Amino acid sequence: MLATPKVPTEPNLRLHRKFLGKYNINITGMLFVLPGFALIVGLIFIPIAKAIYYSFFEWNGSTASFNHGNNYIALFNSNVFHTVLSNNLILLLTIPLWVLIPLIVAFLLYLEPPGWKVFRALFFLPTALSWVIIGIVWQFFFAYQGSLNAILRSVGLGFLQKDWLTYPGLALAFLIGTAIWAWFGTGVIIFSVGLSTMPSEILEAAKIEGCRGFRLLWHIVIPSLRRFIEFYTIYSLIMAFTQMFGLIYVMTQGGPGYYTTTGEYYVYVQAFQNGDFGTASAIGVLLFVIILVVSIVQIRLNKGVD
Amino acid sequence: MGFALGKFKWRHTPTLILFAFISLTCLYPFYFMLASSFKSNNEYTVNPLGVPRHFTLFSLREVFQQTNMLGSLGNSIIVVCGSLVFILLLSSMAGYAFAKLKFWGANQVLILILSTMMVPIQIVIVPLYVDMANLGMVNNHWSVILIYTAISIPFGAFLMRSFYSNIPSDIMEAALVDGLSYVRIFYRIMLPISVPALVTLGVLDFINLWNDLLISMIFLQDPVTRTVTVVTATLAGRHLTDYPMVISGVFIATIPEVLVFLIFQRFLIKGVTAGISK
Repeated sequence: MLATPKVPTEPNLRLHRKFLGKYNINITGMLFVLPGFALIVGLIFIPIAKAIYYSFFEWNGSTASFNHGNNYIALFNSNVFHTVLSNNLILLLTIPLWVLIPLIVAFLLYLEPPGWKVFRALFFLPTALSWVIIGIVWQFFFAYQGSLNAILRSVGLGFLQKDWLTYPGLALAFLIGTAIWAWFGTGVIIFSVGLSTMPSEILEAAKIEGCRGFRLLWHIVIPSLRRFIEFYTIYSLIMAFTQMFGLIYVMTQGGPGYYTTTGEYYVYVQAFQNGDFGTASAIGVLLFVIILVVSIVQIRLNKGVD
Repeated sequence: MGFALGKFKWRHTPTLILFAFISLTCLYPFYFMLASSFKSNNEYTVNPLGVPRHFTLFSLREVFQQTNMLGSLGNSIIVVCGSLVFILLLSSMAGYAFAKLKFWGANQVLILILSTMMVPIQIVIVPLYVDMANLGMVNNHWSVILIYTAISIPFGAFLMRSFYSNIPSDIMEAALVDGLSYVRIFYRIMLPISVPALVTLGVLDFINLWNDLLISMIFLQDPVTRTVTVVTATLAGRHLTDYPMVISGVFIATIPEVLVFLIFQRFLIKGVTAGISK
């Protein structure tokens, strides 16, 4: 018996594409998205709702009592929280650095000084390391028995030696500096990609006009890279406000006192050191709101520039 | 000008000085880890920054004896690779559905999923802990695997959707005409094609999840189940006086990551050259 060739099966299409009026019900499509979506609903959306709910209770994990928003009131009155907020504010104010440093470096690389390929690879090295590793290495660097003091001694500036991370202002500065250092390789790559998409006609025209160096950067490059800059600014902001836990934990543990405790770290302190789940949830909610607000403001500002 | 590098111009000097300084800072951690791991604590006290004068493996041995370094490496591998399996599968399924299978509500679901990328993990960490504790899942690898998967899918689905969108719909139509079901199309055609994107996603997520501290510290508290990131983080707190030992631990913990990083670089190059030769 000869095998009959397979006939194109229209019924297959009909099985999967049902049109109810204008609604395209593709069951396979829905089923493919379902597992992922279910996980997200169950492990993110529902917990968000729970967190908002928990934030109105005084709760330590076993006994709960409704609090009428006392958690929030207590937070707003708390000096510690004021310190935490001011740390976040300082962090926010440093975001331009987070963006500008990789941007300038990417631009300098773009001018292709000798050895630029090597430098670019070197600048990307820190991204191979985890926040924890980076935090430990640099904490040792700034420690009293550490490398910075050793360097100072060797150039005769030994009298400047300190336990650098025990000073509130310095601790925060070095913490943020380390974060910027850890993160700038990613920015360099992103902006390098952006620079490579700049149409060469613009550059040629600019060169003919005699526009070079800093003026080139300011008037030509930055406007061309606007989308990248917007994206990277929001990205850096979210990183700074939500991904620095590991770094803070190993470098300063939020100290001295609370002078390097940012909002995200304070959630951990309240929940797992103080056992105050209610307050921790409240802080989490506030953090979420702050990020949303700043992101929306950012996007609105950028739209205005268009 | 007789410079072998050819393109040297004096106006590059400030840039080069800056680059040299930055490069030093980028290389410093690697040098420091390498040098310090082979020093004894006594030597480190007098010579924190220089090359080891008395080369020793003592600190490295100490790390394995005093901590559960090997076990924690295993835990990290289980948790991260386990998550990756689910992340890659579910992300590609969702990406395929969003890109190729039009269904009612697809746009809304997509926006919902993408919006979760803006949610800081800190807001859900308490409810998740409560849930997991009630389910008895704390210190169970699955709790972390589920959470890692949930937080990684939004970006993964977005990436895979972008990838699948770029595949011409002729392929879909030809396959449909041939009588293949959507499911068959997925695992016979779409999935194999998307291997480069999957690998990229896998490496990005691997590095991200391997380095996670908050989630792994909270949900895997028992020393037996701890991941290597947690062990490293607590090392520094507990053995503050023995710097070389801590750095040895850090050094060992870094090796898997750097390996993945290096392998990834090569794959990327292969992918690009393969694409060009086609």
